[in-house]
Amino acid sequence: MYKIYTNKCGMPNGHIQKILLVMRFTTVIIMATILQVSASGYAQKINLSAKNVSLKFLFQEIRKQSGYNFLYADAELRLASKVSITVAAADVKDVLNQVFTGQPLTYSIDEKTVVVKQKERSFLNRIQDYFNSVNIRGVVVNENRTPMMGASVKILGTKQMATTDIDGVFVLKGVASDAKMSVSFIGYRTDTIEIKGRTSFTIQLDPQANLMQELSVVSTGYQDLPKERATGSFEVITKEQLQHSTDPNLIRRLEGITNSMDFRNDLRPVNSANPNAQRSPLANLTIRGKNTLNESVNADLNGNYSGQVLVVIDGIASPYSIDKVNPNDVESITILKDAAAASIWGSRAANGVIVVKTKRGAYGRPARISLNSNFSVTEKVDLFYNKTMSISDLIDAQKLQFVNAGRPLPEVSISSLYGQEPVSPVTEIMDAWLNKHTLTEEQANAQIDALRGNDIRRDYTKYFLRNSVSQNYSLSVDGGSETFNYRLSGGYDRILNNTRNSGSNRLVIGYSASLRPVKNLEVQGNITYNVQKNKEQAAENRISGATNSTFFPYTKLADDQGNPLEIGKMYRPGFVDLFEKTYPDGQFLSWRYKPLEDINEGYNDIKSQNLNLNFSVNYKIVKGLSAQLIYNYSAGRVEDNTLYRQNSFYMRNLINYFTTSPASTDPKTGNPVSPYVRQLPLGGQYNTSLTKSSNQTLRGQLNYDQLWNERHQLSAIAGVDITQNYSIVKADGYYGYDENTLLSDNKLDYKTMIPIIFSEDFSGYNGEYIPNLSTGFIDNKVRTFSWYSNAAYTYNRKYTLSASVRKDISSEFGRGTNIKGTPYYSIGGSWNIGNESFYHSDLFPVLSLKTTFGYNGNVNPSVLARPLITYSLVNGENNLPYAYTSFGTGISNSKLRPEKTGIWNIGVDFGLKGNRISGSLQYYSKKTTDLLANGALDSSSGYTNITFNTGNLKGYGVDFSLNSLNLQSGPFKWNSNFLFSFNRVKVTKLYASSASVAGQVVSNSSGSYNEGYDLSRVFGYQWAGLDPQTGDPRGYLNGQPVAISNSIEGNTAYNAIQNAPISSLKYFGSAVPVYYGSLRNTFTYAAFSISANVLYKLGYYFRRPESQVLSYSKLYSNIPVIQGVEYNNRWQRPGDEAHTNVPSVVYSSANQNRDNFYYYSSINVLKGDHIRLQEINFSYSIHVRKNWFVKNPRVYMNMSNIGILWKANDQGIDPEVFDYPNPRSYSFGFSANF
Amino acid sequence: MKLNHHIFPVLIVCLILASCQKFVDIKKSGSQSFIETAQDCQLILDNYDLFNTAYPIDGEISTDDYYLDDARYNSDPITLDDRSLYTWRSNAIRNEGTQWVNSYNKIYHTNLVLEALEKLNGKESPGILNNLKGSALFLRAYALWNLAQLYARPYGANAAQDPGIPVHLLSDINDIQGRGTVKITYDRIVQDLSDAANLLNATSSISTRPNKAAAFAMLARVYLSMGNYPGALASASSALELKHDLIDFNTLNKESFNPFVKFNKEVIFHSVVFSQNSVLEAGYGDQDLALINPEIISSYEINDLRKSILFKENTDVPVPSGTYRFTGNYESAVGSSKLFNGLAVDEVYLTRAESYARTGNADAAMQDLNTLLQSRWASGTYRTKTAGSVNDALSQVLGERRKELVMRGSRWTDLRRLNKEAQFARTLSRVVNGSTYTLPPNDNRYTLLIPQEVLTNSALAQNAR
Repeated sequence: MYKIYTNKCGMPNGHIQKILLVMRFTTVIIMATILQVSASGYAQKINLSAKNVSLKFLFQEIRKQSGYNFLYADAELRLASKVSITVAAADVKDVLNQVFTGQPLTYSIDEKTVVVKQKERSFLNRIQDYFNSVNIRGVVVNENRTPMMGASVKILGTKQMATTDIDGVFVLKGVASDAKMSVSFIGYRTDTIEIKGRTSFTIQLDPQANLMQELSVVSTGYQDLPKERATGSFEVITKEQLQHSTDPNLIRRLEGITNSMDFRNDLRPVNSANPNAQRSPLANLTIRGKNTLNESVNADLNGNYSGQVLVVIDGIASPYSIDKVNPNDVESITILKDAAAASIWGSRAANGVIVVKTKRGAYGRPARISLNSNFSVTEKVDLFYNKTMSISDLIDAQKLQFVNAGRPLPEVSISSLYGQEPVSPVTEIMDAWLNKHTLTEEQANAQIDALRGNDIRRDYTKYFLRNSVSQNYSLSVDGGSETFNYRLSGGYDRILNNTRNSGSNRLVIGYSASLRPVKNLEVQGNITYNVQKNKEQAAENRISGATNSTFFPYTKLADDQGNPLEIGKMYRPGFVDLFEKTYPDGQFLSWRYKPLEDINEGYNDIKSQNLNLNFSVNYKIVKGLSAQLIYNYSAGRVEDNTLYRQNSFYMRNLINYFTTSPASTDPKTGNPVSPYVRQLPLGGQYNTSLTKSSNQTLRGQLNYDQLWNERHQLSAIAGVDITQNYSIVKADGYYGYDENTLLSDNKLDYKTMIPIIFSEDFSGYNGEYIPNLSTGFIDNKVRTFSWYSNAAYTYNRKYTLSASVRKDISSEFGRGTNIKGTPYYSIGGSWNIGNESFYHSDLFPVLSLKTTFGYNGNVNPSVLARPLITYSLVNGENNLPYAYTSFGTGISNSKLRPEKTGIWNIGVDFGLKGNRISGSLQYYSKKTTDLLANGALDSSSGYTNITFNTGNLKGYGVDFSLNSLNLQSGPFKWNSNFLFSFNRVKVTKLYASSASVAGQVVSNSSGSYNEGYDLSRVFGYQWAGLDPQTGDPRGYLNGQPVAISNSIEGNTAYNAIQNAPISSLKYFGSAVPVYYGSLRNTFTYAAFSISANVLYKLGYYFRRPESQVLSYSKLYSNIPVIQGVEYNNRWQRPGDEAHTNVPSVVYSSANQNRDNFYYYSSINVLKGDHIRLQEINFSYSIHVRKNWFVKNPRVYMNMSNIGILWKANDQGIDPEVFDYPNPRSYSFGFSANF
Repeated sequence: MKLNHHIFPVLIVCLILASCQKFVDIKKSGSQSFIETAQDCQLILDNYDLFNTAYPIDGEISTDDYYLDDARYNSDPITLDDRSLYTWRSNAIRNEGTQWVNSYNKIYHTNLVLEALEKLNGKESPGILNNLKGSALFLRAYALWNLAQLYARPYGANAAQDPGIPVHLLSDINDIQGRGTVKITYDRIVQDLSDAANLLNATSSISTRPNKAAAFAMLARVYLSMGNYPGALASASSALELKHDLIDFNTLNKESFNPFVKFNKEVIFHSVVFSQNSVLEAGYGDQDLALINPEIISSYEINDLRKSILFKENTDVPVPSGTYRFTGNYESAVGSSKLFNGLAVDEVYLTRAESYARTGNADAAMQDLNTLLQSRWASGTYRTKTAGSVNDALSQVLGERRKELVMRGSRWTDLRRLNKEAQFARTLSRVVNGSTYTLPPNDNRYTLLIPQEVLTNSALAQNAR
């Protein structure tokens, strides 16, 4: 640098060397780039005449004439005011004195060089300054007049500067009253203001339209990039956007504000007593359609699902579940959709990546406290949403069935249960009347009629369901000095679920700190602890809200006074009475069951804790190049405890079951055994399992980011990533457990079949093993080694080229893939047309074009080319340990190959003049080759269908987003955000031998896919109406109508229709929405803001929910299932077929052909298109006095799941509701800073 | 010097790649492993649910050991597929391929074990490896033969032309096999069993594990089904040399619904049929489930204990009195359709007796028959039976076979092979809801239709009708 410098200037070495030596002690590098040195010919006297010229101009003139060189910093020269001067044949010094008069600069002459520097102020000057200086205070606001935090305010020509706080306020002391200040904020035009002795300012900054794009920073988890330079498809969700909802679950808050994400609401459970309620909403989420198919809905021990969206939290791939993140701690979320964005995550990126960045402190920001609190109430679920046949009709159907079937029930027996499976109470009454003659016709009818008025849904609603209430509190403190910053946060959520004895709470505490101990080194640490407790009814005590062999549609749970009622469970009515009459002496526990009391006799508590530690060290090696070392350790601990108290029905039954009675016999010899021996101790049962997980990631990464000549910018990263995830489950169980004394009794003989209370159980056995409480260990270890690199080169802020590559080696792949597998890569380019000199569109000042291509992968750890065996302790039949294989653990498949998804993405970002409208449009096309999916197989291989390379997919679609400012007039403003996604996934090639017949395709059984069709699609059997004579449903066989009756002929016809080619079916189209998105309108009036979000899903079909389609085999089963209201519309007499498609009544509980044909026929497929009003938000920023300790108080209200606005089907069915709709919820919240 | 510049990075990369390969080469879980040791093979073969249950039941459903009354036939638990099969409809077909797939799943697992054993040669003691290999071969042949009884034509003169069933000798799912011929199928079964007989240990700790006696007993059963009587004779003799225990029926409880204990001393190899089917359910006497063919009930002589041990009269209403149900299940499952179809000493005696008679040795045939019957009759009442001729001996042996092996999974095969001889051929008939259905000897319907699901997903040809 030194050499070049001198050569260029051609100066005598001695002089310049001296100067440079001085400089070296100051800021060698910075100065070198901005210093300008002039040298030229030789002259003595100066002649000048200039008006209002810059010093720079004058220096050049003086140099020309005198040969003096000038050394100055450009920045300093800018402080100087312009000069008017007229001199003739003046001495250099005189000229200079004249020039520097009144300037904040001074000079010195060293040999022939004039060194310009800032004036050292004299004591007097300083005193003078003091009196001339003022203390100023100001507020920086944006175009909406909302305060801007973090704007920087500088006093020009001095080192004085300040940053605005959360209220947009800055304070500067001792500012020269004639100084100028510049106020800047990224994305806004910098404003320069003369102070002119004023002390109070309100400064409004105007957005700089073509900088808007630069504002957002996208994060891939490995690096942060300005969006302008990112070629890939990224979508950034800011913390402000996340405020639209108060859902404590982060994933759910993304609905309605993100593009191309489809939340399968129809699968979202709503009743907390439903075991599915525990499932993460991540399980059903797709980004840009389904890419990989994995039917498994169970997470592995680390909570990861294959074939799912990958979640990255603070740069680490799923260190812990995203459900544990407190949404108030989230700074931003970036969704990576295409190859350039996601392929850096390699083998797990095919389904998209969600990158979560949590909030951190900031250097040089004063401490502030933020508080947010809200309270939500969710209505009870509407069990009556599905219109059903009347209870009375159900009872009549049961009566009719009993008469028609003509099968008398055996006498109730307390010793032999074979054939004594419980039947419905109506059947029992009918049997007592018609066969046992213990009831007269009048008595029987009276008893039956008494049931007609009952409805278990009413009782569930009244005694079991409740409004769900949730409270959320979050508090954080953050701030920082120049070398240290921190953030401490705490969040607490408390939720009462919508069923009794069910609820949860969550505490999340986080602390993060960054330190710059020495120059070029930054150390960061982050520690997050969360603890979540869920409390539920114990599984066996639980009332699921459904009807089953214990709960019939006409079961009554409580009497009119609300006292819990007894119902029969597990055994036939009459069993308990007979039992108590036979053994009155109290040798046995009671067999009576009151469900509303029983739910209190135990619990299922899950306590999950997670501690995440993250350390990173970042060292700047030279300018532009830095090295980073990150270590993340996440320790999880989930305790799952279930207690059944002795008083629970489950426990009483179990103890009784293993108590001998006079009917008991020795299972070996068949001889009677001595009665009244309790073989299972009194007390409860306590099951406990502890899952401990430890996930570790170590990453070394080099970052390079350099700008040359203001034109060439290269940013690149390269690194290696080593992870190990290990988890172990320890399970244990105890009999005879007493929760007060903690005593238990496990000294039991589990290996001998012992006599039971019955001479024969339901299966005819007279002995049983004591159920082994699940004890033992399961573990799971995954190690992955990856290397990756990513580089992007930008020329002149116009053209960007990017490339990435990654290779994963994992213990989950099997050796072949590790050795032979190729790396995943991507390339991309973008063209920022808006920055081109030739481009002068007034309409679209912002315009950029992007395109990318690359490969993403998906790992399916369960698909292995050779089987794993699972060890099992003992088989009860032969008492030998054994091992087994299962689909889930691999199958011998020599042709297994990894699947790959190639994605091509092209997009355009645009902004209209004045930023009134901005948005982006993207088209993508994805090709998945060697798709791993469940496919049909030659049955002689030993499997009918397994997961293997079944075929190729092609997906394509459009993402479009548009943000507009529709109206702005004074304090009133109307904004719209419109999101639109189009997505279609088709099967282009199928290797599997499969799905060639109608039956497989129509029911989507055994992994049926077809070339040329949508991946998720709906077919229906051609419907030929009802048989005019019998009311049987009819289909077409070889073009002729054929009745699917409940006979061997009907069976033959049904089988023939099932096995007909798929062309015999009616094809509807996609089963998942093809067009979907949302429209949010926000109206702001001063401090008030109201917004409403409408979701739409279009272009798809659905089959009517099973609960609404009449099934006689379910109606007439021993455990009657109440049928949909269309029962009233069934075919009853010839002629009815003209106005109904509902088949006539047949009595069969086993043959489902007729019901299945009807269910899968084309008449039950409807258009799924619908629009729903998802939520309305209201917010009000309370105006407070400026010196109040509370800042920015805001109250808000939110109403969600409001209802469906329009649906395409005319049957009144919400296509996303399978049992009952998500109930409405209302929340109220408050947030403020201190 | 210059060379080093290139070599070092390469070396480092190699080192890293090698060590990261090592880093990821770990067991996924403590409870799971690839099949790597002889112990692993043994554990797979000890999978009771896989190798000792769920053998095809449709043959037994098609026999004349039992019948259903109309009420039962029309009741819900009897599926329409079952009804078609029961009445031998010419289009009787299972839609689901469960029984087929289950059998090939057993074969798949035996192939897995055989492939794993191949790699263990020299690494573990040959004695252990041989026994394991023998077990896998036995189980493969056992599954294949049981399936062939349903879907391949009986072994006969056209065996080299008649389509067999696919013979899979590799576990790889990409190894697709056609039907081949009946000869190819049976040749493989005989080969596997002969090899197994050489490799297996003479005894096993429990009858769920195959042993040498089981291999010979099975070989005898297979030869008998092929009409190879000398082969059956030799194999049966070898089996009986190793195991010849018979239960004295006098020691059993005549009143019990469940007189036999599981793994009783007659059992050579224990297995049961596919139990997810209601047709063969015997019930408890209060339901009219599978009723025993009255011809069988009336064939027992006064002091023959089998009538009271193997059957019970149904007593409770609404079951028609005078009907009988089966209580002689060696599985020791009361009332269930989980019928024992494994190998037992009584069958081997009957097979050898028949083979003696078939090969002209009436005395030896009667001697075996007497040995068996002595244990079946009330103490002291049995009088030694004699035969006037070879043919008389054969008739007597076949008569006792009918009485002994009821609901044991052997009747269907016996019908298929005996139909070939005019002397023993018979037309089966059933009356259902007033209609009579018949199955004449050697009818095409003695070979069942391959389940639809199997045909849909393969290129296999359906059986003739």
